[in-house]
Amino acid sequence: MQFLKRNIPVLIAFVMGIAMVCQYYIPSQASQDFGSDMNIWTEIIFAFALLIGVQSLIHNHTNKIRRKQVGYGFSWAVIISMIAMTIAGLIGGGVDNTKGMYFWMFQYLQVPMQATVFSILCFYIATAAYRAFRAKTPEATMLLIAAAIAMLGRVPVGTELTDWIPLGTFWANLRMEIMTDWLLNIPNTAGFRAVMFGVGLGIISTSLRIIFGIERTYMGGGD
Amino acid sequence: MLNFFSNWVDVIGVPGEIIGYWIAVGLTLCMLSFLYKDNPFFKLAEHLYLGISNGYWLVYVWQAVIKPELLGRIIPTYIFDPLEQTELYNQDANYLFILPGLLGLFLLLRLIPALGWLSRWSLAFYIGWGAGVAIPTYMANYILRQATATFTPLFGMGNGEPYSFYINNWLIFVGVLSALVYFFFSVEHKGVVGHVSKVGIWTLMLAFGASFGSTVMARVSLFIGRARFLIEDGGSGTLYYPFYIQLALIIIMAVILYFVGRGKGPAKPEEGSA
Amino acid sequence: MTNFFFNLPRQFIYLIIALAVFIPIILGMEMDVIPAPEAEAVFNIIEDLPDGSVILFGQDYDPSSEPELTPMTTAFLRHCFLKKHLVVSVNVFTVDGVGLGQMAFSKMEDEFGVVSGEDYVYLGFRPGVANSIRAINSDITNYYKTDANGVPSASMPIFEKVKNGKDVDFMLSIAAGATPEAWILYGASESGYPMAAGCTAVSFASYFPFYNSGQMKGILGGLKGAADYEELLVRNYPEMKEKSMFAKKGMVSQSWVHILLLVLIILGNISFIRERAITRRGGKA
Repeated sequence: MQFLKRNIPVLIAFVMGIAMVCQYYIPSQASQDFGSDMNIWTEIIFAFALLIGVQSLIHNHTNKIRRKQVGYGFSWAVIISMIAMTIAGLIGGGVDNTKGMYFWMFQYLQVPMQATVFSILCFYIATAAYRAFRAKTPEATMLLIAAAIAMLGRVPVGTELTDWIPLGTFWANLRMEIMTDWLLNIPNTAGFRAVMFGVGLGIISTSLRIIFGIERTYMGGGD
Repeated sequence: MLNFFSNWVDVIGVPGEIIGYWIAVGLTLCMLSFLYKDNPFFKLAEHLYLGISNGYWLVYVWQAVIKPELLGRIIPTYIFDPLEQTELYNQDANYLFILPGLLGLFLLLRLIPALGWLSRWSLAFYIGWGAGVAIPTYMANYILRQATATFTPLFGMGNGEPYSFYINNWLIFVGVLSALVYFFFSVEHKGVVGHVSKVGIWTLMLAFGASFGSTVMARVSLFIGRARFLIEDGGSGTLYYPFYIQLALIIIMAVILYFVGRGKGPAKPEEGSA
Repeated sequence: MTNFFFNLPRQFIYLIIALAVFIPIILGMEMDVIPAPEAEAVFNIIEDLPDGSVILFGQDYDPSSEPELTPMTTAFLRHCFLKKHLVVSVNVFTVDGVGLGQMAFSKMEDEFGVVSGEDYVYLGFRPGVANSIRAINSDITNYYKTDANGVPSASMPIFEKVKNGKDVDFMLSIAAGATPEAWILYGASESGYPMAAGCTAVSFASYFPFYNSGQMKGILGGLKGAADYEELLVRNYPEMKEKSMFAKKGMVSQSWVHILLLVLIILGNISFIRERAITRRGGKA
């Protein structure tokens, strides 16, 4: 049993990992076909993973309703709207039918709500900025100056502040848009590139650990 | 009945569009009302959003993956297609695809504690595939290409490029190197290493500063988009939901909130929720 | 003065920000934008490609970044169809975005009379980023058996010219997440097509290493990137002046809020420096 529970998964990960690395370097048609079949296989598995998410949501809210927890009326809103959307899609066609009820609900319910939820962040980041953005140390001051340049240099008002400086001279380097351009292209590129090296090496080493069975956290706890 | 769902837009006609816009406006305002404080309008919209988006996913996964890619390949002749695109399923059965279907079902077994361990097989398949695909691509694009770009061209002044070009290349080179030294925690950051890592911190601060400024910009843009929806889309072209009617709606919402929240502290309505 | 400011309820600050956004839109104010070089690079590539080239377009966003990225998509697609390029489009980011893709292309059908399956095809979303992008490298219609409208893709005229990633002349991923990186990793590096990113301003700065290394030929960043593209479009195609160009208009509100925030940040720092000075003096005494 232990073999089935712990060893087989490690073996599957090993075989798949090695196979895909080899597939990358072998340009033959058979290798390409194998690669493209595997793309569809993973797509199918991923689709089932999404179902687990939906199940957990339903479970959570039906529990709330059953226990009559505070605000359980809102859980009805989740269940009813989900059923309505699903029925509308399965009977009248999904995104493939722009005249159907499903698409109508997407357009007039989902889009405005999802877009607005994220737009609220505008107000929070604004208050966070003026309450927390302090030039406490030289490093914090650099962060502050870079942020200020980036905020000014990419809006028309910022560029109009310095548009009296003639182009083509040395002083043109002080124009807001040119400073922003330099900031993004030189120090910003250097900083993020260093981060990328870290991320790249991290992903490669984690991948190797997965393939060779050292990293097994994806299996979860238990035996 | 089928027509009711599949041709909904024509069934309800122009009023459907107007109703749709008004629902969209109402839900937008409900969501924004959270800025004042948490309230039942926001809660309702939040929960509706959860339900609608999950319903959306469910239908899409069935229609775009499970039906055509899985069942369509294993039992093509048994797939009933309401749109009668028989051409799509006019293919020989490929029983090899039972395997990914099985792995997918194993994933669902997580919900049954006794058989949950089988989901590890599916996860191992997916994660092993991801690891195998990631190694060569990250090596090529994150490490090698980026390293090449960092080292060239640092020398060759007088070849037509202005001096600033080389100075900037050197700045990138020094910036990357010093930031990497800063990330290298196996050596104590003292002496030369300490000084170099200091330069690294400055580089990173400039990068994160630029990124933060940019992030502020993004958040503001999102709200601008919603403001445009509330004011322009309705006001200029269609006149379905002029701004003054929305203001009336906001006031009604605020009054309701006032009565709901009375006795729980100050609840002065304000226009910021628009 | 500064203390007064910090003691105000947060809702008051929200109200000022909301007004800074609303007033310019209500008054219909406009300002000139100076296109950034990295945005101009994207425009020039589309402009310089011979008419009828193949553009792969990743419409990789969902409603949560719709306000930033829809104006960009509209401007980019208008340019593509003005140049009569063939557009093959997918969404590798999330299902939620497919409806937006449908809406964007139906707008283009109204404006340019383009036909699905001939001038463009919108293939929608399939789960998994890397596998979808890799599938385009090898065989598009084997993986995307139908387009987003459910029409079988194999018999579409556009796929007589475009079989896989090798036939693509340029790729742009307009993305809410990290999909441009995935397009580099799994698409451009294997199929060899030149590509650029259109992204939210959140991830804008982090893509510059790819721009510097040439892995991205250009970047459109957030609403400003969209405004740049609109500006370039109007400069090169005066007839586009008639169309609604929202990003440019939005930049006025954007300017006002940025100035407001900078003023708030400066006030915050003045009060911080003053408090620190007082504490130090207190320490000495």
